[in-house]
Amino acid sequence: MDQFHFKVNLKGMIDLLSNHLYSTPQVFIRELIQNGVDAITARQKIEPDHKGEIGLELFAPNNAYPTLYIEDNGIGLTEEEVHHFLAQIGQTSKNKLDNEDYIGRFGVGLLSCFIVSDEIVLLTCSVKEDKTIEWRGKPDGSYTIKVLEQKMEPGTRIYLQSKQGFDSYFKVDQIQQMVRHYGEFLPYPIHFYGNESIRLNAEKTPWEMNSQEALQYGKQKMDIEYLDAIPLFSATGEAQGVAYVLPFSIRVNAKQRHRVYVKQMLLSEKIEGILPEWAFFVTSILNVNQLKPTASREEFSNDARLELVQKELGECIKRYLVQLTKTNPDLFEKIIQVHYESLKFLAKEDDELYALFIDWLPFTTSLGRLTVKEIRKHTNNILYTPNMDEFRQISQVAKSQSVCVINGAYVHDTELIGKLGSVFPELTVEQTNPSTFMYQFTDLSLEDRRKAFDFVELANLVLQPYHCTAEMRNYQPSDLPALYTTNEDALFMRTTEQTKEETNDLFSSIIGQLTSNKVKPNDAQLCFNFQNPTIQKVIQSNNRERNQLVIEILYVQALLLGNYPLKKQEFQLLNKGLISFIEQGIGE
Amino acid sequence: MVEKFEELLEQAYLAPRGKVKIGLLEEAIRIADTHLDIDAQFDARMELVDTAIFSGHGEKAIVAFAWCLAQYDKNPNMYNDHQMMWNYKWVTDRLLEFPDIELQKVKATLEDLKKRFTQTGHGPHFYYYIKQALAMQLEKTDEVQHYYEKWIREPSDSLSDCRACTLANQTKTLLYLDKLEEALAVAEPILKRRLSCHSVPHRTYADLLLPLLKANRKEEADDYYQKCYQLIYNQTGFMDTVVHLLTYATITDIPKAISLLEKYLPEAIDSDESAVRYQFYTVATVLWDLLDEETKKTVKLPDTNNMTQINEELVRLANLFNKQNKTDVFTKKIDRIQTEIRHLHQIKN
Repeated sequence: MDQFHFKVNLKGMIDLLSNHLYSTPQVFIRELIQNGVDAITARQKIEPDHKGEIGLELFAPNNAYPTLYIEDNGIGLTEEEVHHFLAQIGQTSKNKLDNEDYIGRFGVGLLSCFIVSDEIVLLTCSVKEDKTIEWRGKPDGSYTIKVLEQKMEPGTRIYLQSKQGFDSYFKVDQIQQMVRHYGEFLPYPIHFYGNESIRLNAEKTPWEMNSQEALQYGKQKMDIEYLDAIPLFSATGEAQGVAYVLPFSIRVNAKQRHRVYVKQMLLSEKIEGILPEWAFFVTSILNVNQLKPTASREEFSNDARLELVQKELGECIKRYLVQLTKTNPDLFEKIIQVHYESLKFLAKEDDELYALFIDWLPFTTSLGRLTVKEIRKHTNNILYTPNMDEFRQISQVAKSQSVCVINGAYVHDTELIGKLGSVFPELTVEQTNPSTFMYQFTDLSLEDRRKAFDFVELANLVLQPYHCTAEMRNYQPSDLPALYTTNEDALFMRTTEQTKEETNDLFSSIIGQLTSNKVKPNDAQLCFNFQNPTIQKVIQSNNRERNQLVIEILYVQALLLGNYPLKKQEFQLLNKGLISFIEQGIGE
Repeated sequence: MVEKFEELLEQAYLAPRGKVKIGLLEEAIRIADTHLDIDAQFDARMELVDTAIFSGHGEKAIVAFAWCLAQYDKNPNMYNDHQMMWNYKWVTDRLLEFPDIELQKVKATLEDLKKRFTQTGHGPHFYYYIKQALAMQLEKTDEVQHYYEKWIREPSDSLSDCRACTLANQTKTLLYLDKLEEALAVAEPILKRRLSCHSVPHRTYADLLLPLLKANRKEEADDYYQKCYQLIYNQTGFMDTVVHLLTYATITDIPKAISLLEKYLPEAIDSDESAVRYQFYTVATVLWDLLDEETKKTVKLPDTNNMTQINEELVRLANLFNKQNKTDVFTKKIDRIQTEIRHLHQIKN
């Protein structure tokens, strides 16, 4: 079988690179510095005491496009290596065997220079041979190689002249800013030579700082007063860093972006998914040595190792928070106040953390927002409703009776409440709903029952068309004349009836069938309050017609108090009732 | 009240699809209906449509969508055509989960959908798909064949399902038509995990279990069973898929089947989607028959229902479906599926 090779169109490749692989043309700076760093690292393999340095300068003559100069005192290239590596796309001088020592993996780095320049000039001298080589490459793939007379120190120098339309990338402050951006924490000094030489990279990295310094750095860099700085470490990923606790709450599923360095070179400021999903309340600065960036180098390959790193980094945050509950409970409380949603998620997933956090976590209750600790002080008998509607029905009455009912309708809350008994064996946890809750209302005495009998009977008759039954109990608050309670099925019935009034015939009949084929749901209930002065007056009255009006109005009022949207016929009731009372009031 | 409304929407946004999220949205709708304007009422309902569709609560999606459609018809310029049609498509798809709705009404809805698609400049790709899906449910094989061909010949457009779903749906039809090899060829990008989405490859794995088993390719089927179960574990809205798993386990591995029954029967009973109950009960009752009396005692069933009641409900549903669809396939189907499971169970054990 014959074997052939594709002929690769270099110009096309470069177009592809510039348009797709790299999201911004500035990356050529990153690629140049990276080549320098790699060259120095390679030299240090042979000469461990070698002090590596990188330098840059910009020449901007008036009558020509500006030229960027960059030099390193790294290992350099021999003549053969120049032929071999620079001539072939995708080849790299970085030895494949120990490639984890280097930042780049693709060797296409230098090509990114063609995005901004029409010619790369490279002078190099290898520590392995005493020859100065000049290589000139063009974007069409052609290149020349010359051995120069002049001597140079081992290392590499690159000259890059801006091509038309790209000179905005060749400005002093631009270049400096880009070097700082990508190379702030690189291990070798990087200088910019101008009127005076300035060092562009930092002397200390955030992962070498203590918590105070890291917070200071965070404030200066991001202009945010973070609540705390948590040290991060992962052995698997050879990762180190700092997680900053955000001082404001974050939407739970908002993906946090992280500033990630690979071998101390900035990979991206917006890496997602390096920390576990629940850790959305921190943003981090991380240096990772053992994760593979994808070809665009703006995210990590999603593999088993990433998962492990994620887990290890998550552990750091967990352990830290656990420590904090003991060493600085005030700060922990502050963090909880801001990030309780995230911490609830954590507590739900992890029994150990649950036991540590649960007392501090806040819940919505009939008595307002309380932490579990406060709830426990109030009662040992925990009542909760799993849904919002039931909570609303109960909360008003519960409050006036000083009963604490927790609203479990929010994300994670029901699960968290359900596990309370595992940490506090003295607690009983019970789900309640409006009808069971109403059983706690006191029944009428036999005598009162006789007094209320006619009224309740009438109410049942009046409310029948609304799928609602009536009863009479004693309960607080006494200024509440009637309480409307319902169940899920009955509520869905209400919704369907309300929708049928609005929608077209086809859907109206479909909805009709949807509900008619179901087993009949329980009715809603209207529970009158025997303690209420108005009710007392009404049951003593024999005016059946007016009592009917009162029942109808109280029914509508109870619906409105409970935030139930009225159906058409209920609106009509309200109108009819009001008009009648007005007429009676003005004595017609 | 606006703050309360927004807080609820935000909370709902945070919640995974399922009951909690539905509850929060329903509360938001009640607040919008009593205190806020039509836009708020509309937006909250559209959220509910999306959530309910993917959480196994088609009935809530249908009701909420019907309300939105009415607003859209009153004021078409106020709303986004594509968004409306996109959701209409899902609602129609869910309608097939309710064979207790008269066939004539389901058909009328499909025609209405087709008309509206045309009016808003969309093609009939999805319409043909749903026609063949309906025919499949009613076991009208000629019609399945007819609409299947129309469907795959029609170019897809912005209202079509995603590529993964389209291939998964094709696979399902080919399996119904007994073309296993062709189905596997179509499903290749799914099985190789080159294409995936919210419900794929989950349902394709599930669809393939029985056909592979019958073709004496149990090893592959076992592998897909495992993968499928991992994907749907702890997710809501996958009861169709669960039924396939339960069927397969009933034939091949009774202890596994019992675990599935215990885990999912409460959800099936709780489901308002009548097709889900019907399918689940069909398999659950045959599984029950295969158990000896001693084992039956160890199975944890919901307090409120026993297997006799479930069998009665199954018969009631089948008769109701038959009546509403003017057919007898729904009673026959139970018989056929149960006989097949018994038969295969016997061979494999």
